[in-house]
Amino acid sequence: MSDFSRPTRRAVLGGLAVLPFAGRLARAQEAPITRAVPASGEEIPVIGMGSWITFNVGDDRRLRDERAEVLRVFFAEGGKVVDCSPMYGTSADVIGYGLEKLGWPPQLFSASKVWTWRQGDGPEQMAEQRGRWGVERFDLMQVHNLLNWEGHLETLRADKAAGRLRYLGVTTSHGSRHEELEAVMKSQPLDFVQFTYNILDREAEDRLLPLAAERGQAVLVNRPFRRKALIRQFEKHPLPDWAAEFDAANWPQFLLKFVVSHPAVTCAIPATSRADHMAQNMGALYGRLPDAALRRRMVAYVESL
Amino acid sequence: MFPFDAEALDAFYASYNTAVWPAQAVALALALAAVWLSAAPRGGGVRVIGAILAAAWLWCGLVFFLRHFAAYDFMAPVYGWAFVAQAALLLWGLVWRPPPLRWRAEARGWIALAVLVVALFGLPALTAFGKAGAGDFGWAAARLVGVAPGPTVLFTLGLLLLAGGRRRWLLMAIPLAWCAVAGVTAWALGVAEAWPLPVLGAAALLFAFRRGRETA
Repeated sequence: MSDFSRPTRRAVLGGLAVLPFAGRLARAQEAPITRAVPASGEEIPVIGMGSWITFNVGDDRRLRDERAEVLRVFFAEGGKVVDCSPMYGTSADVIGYGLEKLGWPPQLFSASKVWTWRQGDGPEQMAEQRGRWGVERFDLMQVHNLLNWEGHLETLRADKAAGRLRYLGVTTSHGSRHEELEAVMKSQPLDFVQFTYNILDREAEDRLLPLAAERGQAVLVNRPFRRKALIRQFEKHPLPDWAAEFDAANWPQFLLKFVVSHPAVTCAIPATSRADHMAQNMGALYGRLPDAALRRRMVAYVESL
Repeated sequence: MFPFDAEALDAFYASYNTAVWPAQAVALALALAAVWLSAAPRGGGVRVIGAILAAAWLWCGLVFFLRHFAAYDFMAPVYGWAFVAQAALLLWGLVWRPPPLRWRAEARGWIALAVLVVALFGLPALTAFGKAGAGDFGWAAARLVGVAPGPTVLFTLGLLLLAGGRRRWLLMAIPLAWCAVAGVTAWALGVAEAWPLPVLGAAALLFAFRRGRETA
């Protein structure tokens, strides 16, 4: 496993920590960690955001404004990839509300999914999603949970050829259907795959992540916190001192840096409904990443808790 | 796997209650009429009770789930049609072929009354004020009998506890299944106010079973 640590200016900027807004000043001078999409070479930040549950708040104005603030922090801290699905209730509408409120941030990398049994319903569903987001096209369209993947991939390939989307992919979650996903990854030309990977759910390390690297498929990682469960499980324990060696200041950053330090991972997409939690998450976009030895130490530590 | 959290659910109820007002007042009046008819039976009274219950389930199926909640939860159509099916069952079991149904001052009657009171007043109060931290919506987010599934299910179980005949088991199947769904919801979302459904549903099942043995 290669070391993806990059040079950091934290040593120099460390002295600024006593000043107000020092973190923001340091952040402004520091480049976010990015990974290239193998299909194009396009660099994207390794921390994105999901919207499962967290953005499904309907038309409640206060909650919509709170989610718009989550988006604002996300973009302000260097984020790009926003992921959603028609399965997520009103989330697409709320993302669209937030994007409009923020003036359509140009750095947005929009990712959604098609989720319907019938191939013929796919185009209408994707058009509806575009309308709810308020975008003319999605950067990435994925077949949600491999539902009728054969039919929908045919549609997505045609859409990509026609310029209606830039990348296509497939998804699973909760560690399910890995065998079928593996077969699809082997047999289909995919730009992206999405599945679950976190410090306790590491099954993907055995086959899926090496296969993605071999096949040149970008990897979006969902459930990096097992929703909130990992943070709740670990936050009552102290963060080890050596977390400073890869610039993790809190448990969310510790957990995210584990995920994105795997060389085959392109972007992790944690979801949150709180702007302060988003700011914490985005801290993982900066500084050093753990090397292979530190990754083993991270696993041993959390498994000892 | 619920695609919303407790706060979003409260926000939904607040929006829904605003949208359907004054259906809540009409539903409450009809529910109280059904309770009164169970305590003071008269000709055709059971049929009226059945029609009131069927209307409540139909409303929950068509208006609550299919019209309003479908935007939030991909499972809403499944729930909605289950509620419509229960409305049809109630029409068949209580209106077309009405069983004996009467409140009496006995253990089963008191249990039924407790379930009815919780459905009419307890659950709305719990849902309005029972949540710590996210309860910003107050009465606006209350789950109310006749227009929201939880209290409607409990209210139906309370009245079915008073019914005789074997058909009541069939009529209780979907309400009891919903109590189980509510229990899973309460556990998944960490909300206390959904717990009365599985607890009182289990109590209703127990007393219905006891009555079945007594009358066998």
